[in-house]
Amino acid sequence: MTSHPLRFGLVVAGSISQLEESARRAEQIGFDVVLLPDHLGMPAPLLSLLPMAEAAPSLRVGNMVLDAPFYRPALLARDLAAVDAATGGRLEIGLGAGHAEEEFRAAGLPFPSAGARVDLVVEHAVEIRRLLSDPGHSPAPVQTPPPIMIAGMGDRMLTAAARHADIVAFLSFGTREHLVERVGFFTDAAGDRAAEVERAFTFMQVASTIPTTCPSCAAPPPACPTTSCAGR
Amino acid sequence: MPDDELRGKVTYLPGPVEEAADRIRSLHETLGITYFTFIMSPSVTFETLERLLAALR
Repeated sequence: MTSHPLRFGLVVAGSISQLEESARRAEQIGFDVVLLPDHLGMPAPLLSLLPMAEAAPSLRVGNMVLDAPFYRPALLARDLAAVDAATGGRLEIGLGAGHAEEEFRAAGLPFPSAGARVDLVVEHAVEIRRLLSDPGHSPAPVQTPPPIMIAGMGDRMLTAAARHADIVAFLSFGTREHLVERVGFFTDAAGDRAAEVERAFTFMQVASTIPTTCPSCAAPPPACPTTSCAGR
Repeated sequence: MPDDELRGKVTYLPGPVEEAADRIRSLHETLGITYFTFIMSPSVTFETLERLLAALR
């Protein structure tokens, strides 16, 4: 089993001022990372990390996740290095294959096959790691290189993560059993690397609620004397 | 994904905070997942997330 510390990330969106406020709130309530998605019509995924990092100086920043087929490795590595430098080494790189074909069309980009998109994720992970590990890279990142997260759920993406990622993000839209099977696939694919790769999971929708009474003693949370009260 | 499709999916986190925390602990203990991310949406408040993180720390 892995020995990575437990940590939490919050994926946010909105205007720059809303992103700054969300980052501040996330920092105040105990998050470790704030992240931005990568979609047309949403905040620029790298540039917008800078005001968030400024607003929340203790948080790490990253993307959930950059669509690798939108970019070219050397150009993206340059921008990632600049963000890592500007945030004092707080960047976590997130890479995915992209799925929204309409966004590729709107951007005037080809929408490669699923297999080709996975190949592009691998190309980006390998090249970005190589470039940002090079002490001569300019601009110079603080982290050499920043950690690379690969997000996916198919066999090829999880195999890519097993070989090339520091963090694997399981994007399971299925049942818990499906996630268990996917984690098992990843573990087998990673072999000796399995314990070294940090495992991430994203809750796409949080509908949890704060109970109005303690489930054990039925007292309103402020009055509940038990340390296990959900409302404390 | 519509809400009704989300129900029953592992990526959907419903229920009281303590129950949600138990589900997360279970994923941590059984699958070795250590990094949990949440997508901010109108259905969740910072207060709920604060309680959830406090229950897990």
